[in-house]
Amino acid sequence: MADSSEDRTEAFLRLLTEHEKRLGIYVTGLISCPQDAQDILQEGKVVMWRNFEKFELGTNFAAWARKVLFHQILSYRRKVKRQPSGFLNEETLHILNEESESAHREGRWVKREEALKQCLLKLKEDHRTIVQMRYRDEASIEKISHRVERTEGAVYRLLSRLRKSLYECVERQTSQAS
Amino acid sequence: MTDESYQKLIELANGHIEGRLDESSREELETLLRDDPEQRRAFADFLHDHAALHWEYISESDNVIPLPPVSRQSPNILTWSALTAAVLAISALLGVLFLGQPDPGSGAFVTMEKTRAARWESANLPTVEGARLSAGTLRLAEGLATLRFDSGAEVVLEAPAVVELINGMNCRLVSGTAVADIPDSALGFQISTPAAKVVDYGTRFAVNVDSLTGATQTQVFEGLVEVEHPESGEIVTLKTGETNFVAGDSIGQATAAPDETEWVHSTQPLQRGPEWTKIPSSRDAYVYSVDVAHHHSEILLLLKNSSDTRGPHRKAYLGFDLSTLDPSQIVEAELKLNFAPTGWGLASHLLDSEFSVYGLTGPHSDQWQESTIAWNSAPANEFSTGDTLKKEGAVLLGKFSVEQGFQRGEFGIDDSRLSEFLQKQKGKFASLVVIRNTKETEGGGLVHGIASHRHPTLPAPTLVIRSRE
Repeated sequence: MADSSEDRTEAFLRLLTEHEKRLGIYVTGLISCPQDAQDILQEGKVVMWRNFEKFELGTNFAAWARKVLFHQILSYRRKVKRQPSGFLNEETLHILNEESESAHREGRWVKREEALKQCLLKLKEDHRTIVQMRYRDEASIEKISHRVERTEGAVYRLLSRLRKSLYECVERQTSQAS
Repeated sequence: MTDESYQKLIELANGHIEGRLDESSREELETLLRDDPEQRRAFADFLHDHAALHWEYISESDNVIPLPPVSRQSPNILTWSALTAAVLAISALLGVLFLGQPDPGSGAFVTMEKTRAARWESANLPTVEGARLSAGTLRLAEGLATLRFDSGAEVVLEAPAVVELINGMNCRLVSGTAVADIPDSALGFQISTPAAKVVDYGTRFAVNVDSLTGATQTQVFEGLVEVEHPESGEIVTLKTGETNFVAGDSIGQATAAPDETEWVHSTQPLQRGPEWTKIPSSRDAYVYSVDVAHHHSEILLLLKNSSDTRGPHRKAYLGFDLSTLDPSQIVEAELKLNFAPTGWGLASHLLDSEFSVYGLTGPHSDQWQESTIAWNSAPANEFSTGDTLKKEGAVLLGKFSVEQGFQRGEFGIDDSRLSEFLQKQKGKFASLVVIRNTKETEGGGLVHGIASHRHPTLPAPTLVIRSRE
């Protein structure tokens, strides 16, 4: 029988691996900037590990981890709030966090993610390339505009339109399913 | 949602995602999200799609954590190499050196960082600034004291307050007010109270406990805190500017806190459950080596350890009638003594003082009377000194300290030696002796006084005893 702290190390790794992507989505959904989200998730994982002894095995790890991460989001926002930034105010973050928790309870977002994959395939080839550049390659709008030889404004508008049509496609698919 | 407001929301959401909102647009978005649940839901879903796109691609690449394979069939059997790999994976994953599990309970974990006009009662822990503290109880009678936990948590006690230090991440507020400032390193820091458990997920909050009822009030200045009601398991989350109450069997909802919150500052002693019995002294007296004219008290038990070997010394004898209970069933016991000024001697001639409490063990140790007890005939008294008893007739039960200049307040001992001594009192009577170990630095030092059971206002010397049901 392994020592209990070794068991817990293993348990922590297993739980974190299982939930990391969903936790990343959770943070990015609240603060939108993927780079900030990565930093927050990174710090959050350290905090989770340091406090893992307080997590009761068998209870909801994702919910516990989201609590840790939400706190990290708030303190990250406080740290950078002197700079002009795209952060929403704290009250709004609380409201959105509650919305996110109810989406998790309903299982709404798991359905959306499945639909999103289908919807991506329905995009025109050149439009899908733009989405990939922005999301897979994490290219800035400026970089994309050089690559596709269009103005930044045009790329911004195109990306906005693509997000909107993906959102509407997912809405259609999920409302049909239910 | 009208089409117009929907278009507006999508426009704002896209601007937000690309970090292109100016301040007025962001405020417009914040208002929309606050006021309209439908827009809020749409916005959250829209942002979720954006996040999912990002993470869907991330997980396609090799940016995931390498993990040792773990056998699902036998999760308990881990080979050494798998374990090592697990540890390495944690290090890699966290991007930092391997962080050991915090280890509560080993030695000191709190520093007494700062005190302001602080007066302590019955501290079984050191209370000077800079002192390192381990598990134990602090009783702050006046002033402020800042405790720095090794976890990084900072707790300011506001008198009157009683706090038990448990470990780097936990303390128990028995009564009074504590203001906590919790950095990331101590996330999850807990303050438990008789009525509630307050878990910090934020930065600054205050907890107040009514010493009579244990009712707990929590207020968050900044951040996020969870208040749990252990009896029902119900949890209320408090955000910046919110407060709630937990009393008895109910937990209050979060409400906006007023600017000047009213905090309970009861100085009544803590009410204990029915398993506790209070026994005031049935007789008490002090004995003196030299009769100093007029320096006597009917209502105070005088204590002194003179710099002159002949005295005047004074020692206090306390008798407790245990006939209302079965001593062998005693589990826990505390002795509480109320100090009051005597008016004699100079505090300047006496430094911080240590007191000892002894139990008398001789066959005739209960054969003393208030009116006749005297220095030369008092049981177990060592006539030649101000600070010892005869070894064969007495056993040490505990010590407490009183800081220089303090003459009032509740002091005493809370020690397993006391309960063990009481368990052995088959005659159902216990005789205790209180002696000041610290001598004055020069003649004319302070005479300490403990309220006798004859004192008109202060409580008598009291044993507080918990017995098995």
